[in-house]
Amino acid sequence: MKHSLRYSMAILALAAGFASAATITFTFEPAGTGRVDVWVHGNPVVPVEDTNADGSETFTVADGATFSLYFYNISPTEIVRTVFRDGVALHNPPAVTLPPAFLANGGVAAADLSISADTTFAFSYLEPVPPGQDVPTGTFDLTAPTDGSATPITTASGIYRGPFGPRRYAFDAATDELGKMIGLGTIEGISATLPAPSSRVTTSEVADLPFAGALATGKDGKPLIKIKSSIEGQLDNVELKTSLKSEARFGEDGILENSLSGSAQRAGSKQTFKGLQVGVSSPPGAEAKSWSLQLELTRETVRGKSVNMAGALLTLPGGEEIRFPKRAVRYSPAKGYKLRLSGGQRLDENGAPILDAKGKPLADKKSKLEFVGLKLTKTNGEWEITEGRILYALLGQKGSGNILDFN
Amino acid sequence: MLLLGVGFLVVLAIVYLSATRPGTSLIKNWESPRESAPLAASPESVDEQVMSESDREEALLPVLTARGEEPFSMNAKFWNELLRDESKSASLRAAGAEALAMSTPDAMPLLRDVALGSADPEPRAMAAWSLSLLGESAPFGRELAAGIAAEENPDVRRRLYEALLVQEENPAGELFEEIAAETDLAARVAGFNALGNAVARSGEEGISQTFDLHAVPELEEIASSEVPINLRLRAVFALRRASTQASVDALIRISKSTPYQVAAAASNGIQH
Repeated sequence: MKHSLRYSMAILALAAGFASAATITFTFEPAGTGRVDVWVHGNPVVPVEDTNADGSETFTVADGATFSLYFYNISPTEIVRTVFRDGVALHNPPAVTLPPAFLANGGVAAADLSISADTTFAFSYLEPVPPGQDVPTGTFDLTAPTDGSATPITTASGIYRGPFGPRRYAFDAATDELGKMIGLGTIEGISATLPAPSSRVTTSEVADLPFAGALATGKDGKPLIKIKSSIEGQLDNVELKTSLKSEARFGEDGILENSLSGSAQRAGSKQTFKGLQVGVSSPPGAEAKSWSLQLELTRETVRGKSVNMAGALLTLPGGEEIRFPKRAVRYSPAKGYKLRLSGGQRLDENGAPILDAKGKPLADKKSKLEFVGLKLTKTNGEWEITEGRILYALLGQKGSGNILDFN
Repeated sequence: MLLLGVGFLVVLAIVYLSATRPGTSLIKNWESPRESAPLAASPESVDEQVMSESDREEALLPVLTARGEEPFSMNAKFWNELLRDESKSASLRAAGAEALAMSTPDAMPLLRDVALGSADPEPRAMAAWSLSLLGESAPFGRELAAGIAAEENPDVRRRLYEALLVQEENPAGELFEEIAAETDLAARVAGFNALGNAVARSGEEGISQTFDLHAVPELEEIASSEVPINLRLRAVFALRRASTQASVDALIRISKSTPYQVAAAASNGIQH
């Protein structure tokens, strides 16, 4: 497992004497690079993670509270610069001088601070690049292979139908951007009764059978579908009550191999079962779906310094889009780019971020991408990816692959 | 070797979960400059020494998943301490709530409390989602409906709507204004699914008419649109759940005009 770099930086601000609540604003520059844990004595740690596109978060300290602040760089960079400013008065001992900026390349700085008014802590980091260094930039379209060269990701959405003994079945499954699945199905001869009060469905000969579940990656590195379903109804006009749990894997020839556990009660007779193997046909191509990524590597000027930035637009197999806003990333000629993209924003059908009631973009905290040793070479004036690995967590599944297999 | 690996994860889980309480933060213990040796100057060596919080949580996921597969009563204390302690990270609590989806129905009261009471949307959403898998005629319909009306986050509302599907009582008919006001399409379609389910259960003329008049045209449009296939299929599911005449008419039209997957899902809904 790759460990991202995190620096524990400045600590301890004692607000011993202030009389009224103070609002603290943390700004992170570039956006998406930092996190602060606010340690209020006697109370839980409150993480203030930089999730806003503008790189600012606000926290209010209650009257009389004392607190500590821990700054973390959540982006893998090697030089971190933290700046305190605006209304921060040094306290205890008053003679301590906190430099306006300091490097945290393993060193630490500590000072007791007193805050008497609304305060802004600016957190920024800048990674200087050696003069004359040619840093790879560009926009790169990457599409996941479905030939098994990289860990497959599936949506498992679609229609599953065929004969099961003397009965025909048809199940439709829909999987969302987190890999959460719901579905409806029919099996000849089985009808469902909805929970009371129910008037309509009990009269149907065949009613939709509901199920729900989630996708995961099995220990064998292949997609795993976990499904649960409870049905109350009738089988061939005899009362039926079942509770099922299934773990399904894609097998040979498009067969989804289910291992069923649960119980079934029919006409008062109850049977339990575990590990019952049932195969159903799966939709063509359901076992591996392609997904794509538009990776953008840029070099931008922040406060007069050049910074390597990366952002991406992820298109999931089902068509949902997640945007990872640009953030500063680490690059060295020897090791290439190392970057991790997470906390993306869900986009609506028009490509705009979906907002919550407070106007904040909804974060997709499950979709994650990591590039390791991403190297590029310049050919005819254009940068091309020549080496690297991509690791991903998508739709509840995980995997990795050689970046060169992503065409 | 396997046992050693499992043992390591369990120890890691216990250390992490106990150490993240106020005053005994693992972060503080590991990384406070006053309590630990200075970090190495080289970023590469720091990479090797310092495991990020998200990485630590990642390492705990197999433990949570394994415990989630067990009956809730076996680990009730563990789950209560994890999910009710808001000082623990939101993503860790969310992972715990998510793992409980594969547990037993006696986990539902805890999940209800988290879904309706956690300060963080991530565990709220995952607890609600787990309720949608655990509910076997669960008795929380009214509470969840009240939660939807008060919930600010559309992701959480989406999961609460899904949880309504398996409640003994589904009062989604009383949530029409909330559903109609949803601007996030995923939450809106989830709301229509809950409403369709309520229509089929109640058989009340008023709810059916409301569904036919307002939901059916929109669901047909969504099913035939270019939005992600997941939402199109779920729009079809909402029509199938309601099973009103207008819904069936819409399903017939969808079955004849849309791509295979959506058309087949619509067709399956009118076979009976």
